Amino acid sequence: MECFLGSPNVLSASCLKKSFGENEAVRDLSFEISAGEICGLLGPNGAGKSTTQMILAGYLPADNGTVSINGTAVSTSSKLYRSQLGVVPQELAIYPELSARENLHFFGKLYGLSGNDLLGQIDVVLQTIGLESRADEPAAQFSGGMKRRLNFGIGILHRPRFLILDEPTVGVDPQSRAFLLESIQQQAADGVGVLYASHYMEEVEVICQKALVIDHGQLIAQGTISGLLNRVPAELAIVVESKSENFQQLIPDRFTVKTLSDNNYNIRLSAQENQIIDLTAELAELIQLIQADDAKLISVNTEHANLEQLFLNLTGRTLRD
Amino acid sequence: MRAWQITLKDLRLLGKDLRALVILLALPLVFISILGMATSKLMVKTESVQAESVENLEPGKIVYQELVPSYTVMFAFFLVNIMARSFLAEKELGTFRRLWIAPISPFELLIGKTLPFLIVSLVQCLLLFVCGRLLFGMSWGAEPWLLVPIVCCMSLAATALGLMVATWVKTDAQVSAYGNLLVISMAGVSGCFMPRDWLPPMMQNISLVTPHAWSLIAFEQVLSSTEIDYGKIATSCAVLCGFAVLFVVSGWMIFRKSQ
Repeated sequence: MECFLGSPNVLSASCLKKSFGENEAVRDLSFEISAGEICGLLGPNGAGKSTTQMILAGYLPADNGTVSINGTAVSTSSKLYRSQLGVVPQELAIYPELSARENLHFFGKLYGLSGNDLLGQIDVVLQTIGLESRADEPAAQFSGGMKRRLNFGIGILHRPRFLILDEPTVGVDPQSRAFLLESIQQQAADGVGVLYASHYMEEVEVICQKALVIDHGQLIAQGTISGLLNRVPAELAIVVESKSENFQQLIPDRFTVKTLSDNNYNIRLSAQENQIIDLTAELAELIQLIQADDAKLISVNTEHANLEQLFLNLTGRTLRD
Repeated sequence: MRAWQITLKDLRLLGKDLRALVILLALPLVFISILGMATSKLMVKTESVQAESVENLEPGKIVYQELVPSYTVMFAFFLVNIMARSFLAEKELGTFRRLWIAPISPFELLIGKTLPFLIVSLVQCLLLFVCGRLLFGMSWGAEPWLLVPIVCCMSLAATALGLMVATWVKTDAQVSAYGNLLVISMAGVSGCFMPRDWLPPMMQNISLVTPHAWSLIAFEQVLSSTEIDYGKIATSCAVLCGFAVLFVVSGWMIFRKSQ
């Protein structure tokens, strides 16, 4: 596979490979994420999402390939790479015995913040995550949503240029979820590049500009959210009135045609597993055929295409371990 | 400097951990008190306690010349379990991964995680010897300053063993099973439960594979011998440092491999 990635993105990952024994967890994965861009990372369990994130975070070395943030390559000794990176893990990686302020203070120091800069930044983050009034209470006394917000706050405290978020909204109430999603969008608005790994497709659809779909360690689709949604026909169903006797023969085989009454036909198109169809092109072709037949278009129905459908089309419905 | 932040954080967490305080300080004092009361009449001036400095001690106090160092050594190594649990807790919470991806080197991370336990160990030994003197009326010997290098070397060895075990264990059950087995059997073999002189010669030789035994040999020179053998103390300290190096290197290798 030829890999050439040279544009000035915040994060560049090129030809990443990682195997655990015989199991190839990540295979030739390449992508780029720009400043201010939120990119969804989607994939079923065991697809290679976690391994990818661990490589990007510098927690796991790749067998092959390169990762860089603003041109600085990842390595265990690269403090510059690490200081530009913020990670919000799925688990609540906070010290429950310490207060929110103490947690932030400790991680701030660890990332080299000090003095008034640190104190000021702690206040800013406490405000951002809505914990100013509870800042001095032990985190153990917090609700799940508050812990999640603190978990997020630690990730953004040192003003990273790139953020990796691993299911940051798992198990939180709708209020905290909305709060977190707004905070993530605010980070992007401030120019931070974000990789957002989630199983919540509706969240990805709402906050991400683009998405990567991986399965069996490989990138199987990537693009803007609108571009990806356009590739999902969802369900196209139109009703046509035609007086032609051979109307059904005019319609290509990939469409299902059912006779509703004497001259009315229901034409449907559904995507099969792993099939990606250009809905707009298909509809245009159908309309051309209908016009050529001098038939009458009674109704057009499209079920709203969503990422979940795309995801299931691409990765199948077989249960994963 | 950043490693020091991890140290400060762990010291703060340890300060809030009542269980650690009980195991490291309250428990040895309880053991020393009970055994002191139970055996004070049995152990008067024996072969192992014959220094001039203890000649003025009341007969009932002589037993503490054995009990205080023995239980100080034994409970100093109980740090192994607490240290292993601290590492495990970081892993279970996910904070260890946060530390790993922070802009610090793996070596700084390990130093930062190890240093607080060395400090705790030194404070523990200091407090136990102070309590030994103030509560139980023990003597610190003719040259008490010699206790300092011994305590330092023993704490180094105990902390290093803690590091090795902490990098090796994967579950709390392993800490409870293997950690306790290691600590208690080493204490038993080395002579922490009774004067080393009471052990048969072969047992005394076998016990030299433990850092406990070398700590006890050194303490005995300062606290109970008629004539201090500086060579024995120096040798014991050197061996304890050797143990520390061995444990640290093993711990580092296990740590790197597991990552």
